[in-house]
Amino acid sequence: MFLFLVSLAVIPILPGMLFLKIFYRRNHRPRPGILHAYILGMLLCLVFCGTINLLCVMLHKTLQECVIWYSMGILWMQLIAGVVLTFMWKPTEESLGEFLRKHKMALTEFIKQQWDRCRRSFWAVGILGVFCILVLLQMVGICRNGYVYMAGDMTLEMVQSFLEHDSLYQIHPLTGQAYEAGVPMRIQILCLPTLYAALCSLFGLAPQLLVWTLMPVYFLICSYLVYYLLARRLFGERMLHVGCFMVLVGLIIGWGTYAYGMDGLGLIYRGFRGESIRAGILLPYVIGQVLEHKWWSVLLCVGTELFIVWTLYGMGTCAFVAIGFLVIALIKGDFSDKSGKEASVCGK
Amino acid sequence: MWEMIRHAWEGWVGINLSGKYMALVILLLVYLWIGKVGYTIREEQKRILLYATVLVPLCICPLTAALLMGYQTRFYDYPWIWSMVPVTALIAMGGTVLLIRMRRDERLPRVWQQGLLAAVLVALLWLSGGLGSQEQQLSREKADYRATQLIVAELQRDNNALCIWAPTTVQGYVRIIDPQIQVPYGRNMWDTSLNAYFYDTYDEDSMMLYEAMDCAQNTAHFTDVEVLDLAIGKGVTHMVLPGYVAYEDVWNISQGLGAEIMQLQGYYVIPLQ
Repeated sequence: MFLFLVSLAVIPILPGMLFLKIFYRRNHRPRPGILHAYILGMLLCLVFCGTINLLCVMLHKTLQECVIWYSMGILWMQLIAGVVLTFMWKPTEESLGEFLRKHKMALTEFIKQQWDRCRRSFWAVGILGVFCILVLLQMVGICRNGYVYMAGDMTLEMVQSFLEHDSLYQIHPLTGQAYEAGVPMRIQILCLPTLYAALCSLFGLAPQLLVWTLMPVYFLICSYLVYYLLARRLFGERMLHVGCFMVLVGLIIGWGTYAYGMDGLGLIYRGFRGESIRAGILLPYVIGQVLEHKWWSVLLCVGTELFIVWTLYGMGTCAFVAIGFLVIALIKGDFSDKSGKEASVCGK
Repeated sequence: MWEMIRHAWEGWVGINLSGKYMALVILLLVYLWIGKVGYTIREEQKRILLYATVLVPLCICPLTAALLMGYQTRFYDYPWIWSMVPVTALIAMGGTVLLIRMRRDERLPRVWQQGLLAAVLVALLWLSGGLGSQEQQLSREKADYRATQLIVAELQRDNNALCIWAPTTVQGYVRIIDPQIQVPYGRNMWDTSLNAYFYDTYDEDSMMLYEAMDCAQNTAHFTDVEVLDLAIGKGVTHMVLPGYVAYEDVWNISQGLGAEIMQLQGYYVIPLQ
């Protein structure tokens, strides 16, 4: 379990940083930080898993072979990202030690400055504290619930079926008998059941624990990270406003569980499903990225949606939203006067 | 096409029955366009506002909603077209702007006045969503799930290869609890949305088994003893009946098979083989 949690926390970072280094140059403003790298890395991993799943399904591989492909692929991804980043890395910001030496400040003086900042923005710290408590309560709720909204879903049965028979889409998950007519390719392309089964196999986790508890908690946290990035985009550096936005997001998700299709129901009671990941992570991230004109990230989100949600030949909600905002950008003349309009959208 | 339009309209009515977040979205859109005092919305916020203003009417109008439903594929129902509208982000953004303007409003100089108004807004948010939670339905399903866990645990003491035929309140959870247990038909027999996942369909024998069990669930009587041979033919090892089924019927079944009746978690369990 510990290894699994550490892997979840660490694996997306290097690929995400490499993605940022390659597609967003040093002089691109505003510069994305570690949170962006993490989210992009997670999306890259999902796209990678989707590709591997598709290959395994088409080549009729067993689950264990799929697990080997996943693990080797992720390891190679980390290695390549690490090596390339090492050669590409040029530190552009001074470290904390250099900052202190440069400004001739003692460490205690620096801490005192930060404490004074917190006291001046007491309300911001307070609101962020309320938000943290809210998120904690939701995470505890998911862990204690031990049950999900099951209508229209059979992810757990599929995962268990894959593990039980070491095969992909050979055994009917709801009856335990072999398929007669089979499963449509539009379902086989969706990688989440295979990914969950592979994670269970690799880390020795019980399928129900992983699918119903761990993954929903993980995607809930990622969702709040994405909403935080969106809040920073919308409200800038004003932490009070950002905190207020985050608290409202937390309340909406916590209280918006009244109907099928609501974000709250998806994230709290079905957080392992592709639709919940799309609603909680992909779509807010797409909105944030189109506002910054970061089209490679948007493309990555569209590609991720292809592998986790049934779409119209790859054209899903992310593509729709991106095109909608692109049309608005064109109407506003963003691309006719790059130095002026683009600066006005990108937080200046 | 008319069917889809009608379905879209019914979807819009249905989504507003138990919660009012969509109404809140419309209210906030109007407020954000009209209100200007105290805080001018930034360019990024304006773009989200513009996008939502165009898309919300498209999601409400049955004709355009039907087109959007077609775009998202028939696998997804009406509520999913609202994924295209950033409902959560919009309500949070609108609420934040409202609170900022309220804080800067000279007519509300005191902190307690601002706090009271903020509390009213939070209460409005709660009333719009919190009252229609799925908790009640999920509590019932959780109770059925726990009961099934105990039944399966009891049956697995003396039996290795189980094939269980049970009412929906038990059969739907059996393979979640233990994937080695087989069933004559799965959850997609009554949760028809799951049929989109396969090409397979059920044969006539499975349909008859389901109808007999469904009849027992609804009428509290199980008199169709001919299907027992079908069940045995399909490899069913244990039959589960709801505890409210007439004991006389259960007795007749057990006598006919020469089997003992077990009572577990409010159900009758009869071994068929």
